[in-house]
Amino acid sequence: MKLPIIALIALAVGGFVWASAQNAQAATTITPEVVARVRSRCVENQAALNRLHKTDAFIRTDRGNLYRTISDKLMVPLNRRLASNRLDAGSLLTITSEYNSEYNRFYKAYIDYDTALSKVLDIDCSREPVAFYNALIDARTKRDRVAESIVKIKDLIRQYGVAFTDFKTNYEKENP
Amino acid sequence: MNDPYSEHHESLGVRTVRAHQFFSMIVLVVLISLFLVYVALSLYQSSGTVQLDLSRPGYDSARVEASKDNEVFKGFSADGKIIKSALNEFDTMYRDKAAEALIDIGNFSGDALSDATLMLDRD
Repeated sequence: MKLPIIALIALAVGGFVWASAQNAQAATTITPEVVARVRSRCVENQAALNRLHKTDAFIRTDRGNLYRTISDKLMVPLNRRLASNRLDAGSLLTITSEYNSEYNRFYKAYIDYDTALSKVLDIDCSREPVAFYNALIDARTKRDRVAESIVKIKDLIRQYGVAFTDFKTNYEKENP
Repeated sequence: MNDPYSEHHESLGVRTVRAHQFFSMIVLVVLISLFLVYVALSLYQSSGTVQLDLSRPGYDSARVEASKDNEVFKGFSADGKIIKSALNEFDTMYRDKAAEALIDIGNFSGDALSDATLMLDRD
């Protein structure tokens, strides 16, 4: 009876030790030179990251509104109009659906990135350079996810444009 | 159920509230409003609105930039027949917006947070 409990406890402790080792390994990749540079450039970098945080907020709002406008005021109304005229817009509908899903991913990715960057800004880099650098690496990864999502959104905008041109060409051929 | 002490306590509580009705109402209203503020702020944070809110303190420059282009875009109408002119109208609108979206700004490239940009790769 006691054996499974002991095994479970050992497993949990083992898992905890393994996870800690992974974290420690991530932290050990930071060399003492980098730690020294983080400390010495702390004030400039905090100011630069603060500016970046604000610029990003504006860009996110601006780009986000534009991406939303393209879907809500162009793609969706055209799809509806084609449907109400009983015209086949299968590819346009598929792209719109993918576009909206990608927009939602972009929305969430930005929240994660902003939270990560706020965490970086909350850390005192002169006192905790290692924690600061680890948080910076995390923010970098999350920023990359936002960038990936933007690339996909742009690709879907292009795809919709091509699909619309194909539709228009076919329509004009059939209705000269 | 028939505990004389609980009846005594209950009646004391009720008596206290009755004796200070106005004060009790104020306390209740404050508690309800605090709860509603807590719910509202939780939603504000969890929905991601906080990240998009340029009215936060310190975002003055971003707010000014955002208010520069306040032109309302009407978009394409979902009603009407599909005719050549409607398709051309959509084509023009879409090309404009796509060109705006496809320019190379706001790509959130990794360079902004790189060691090189933050000068963490050299002394």
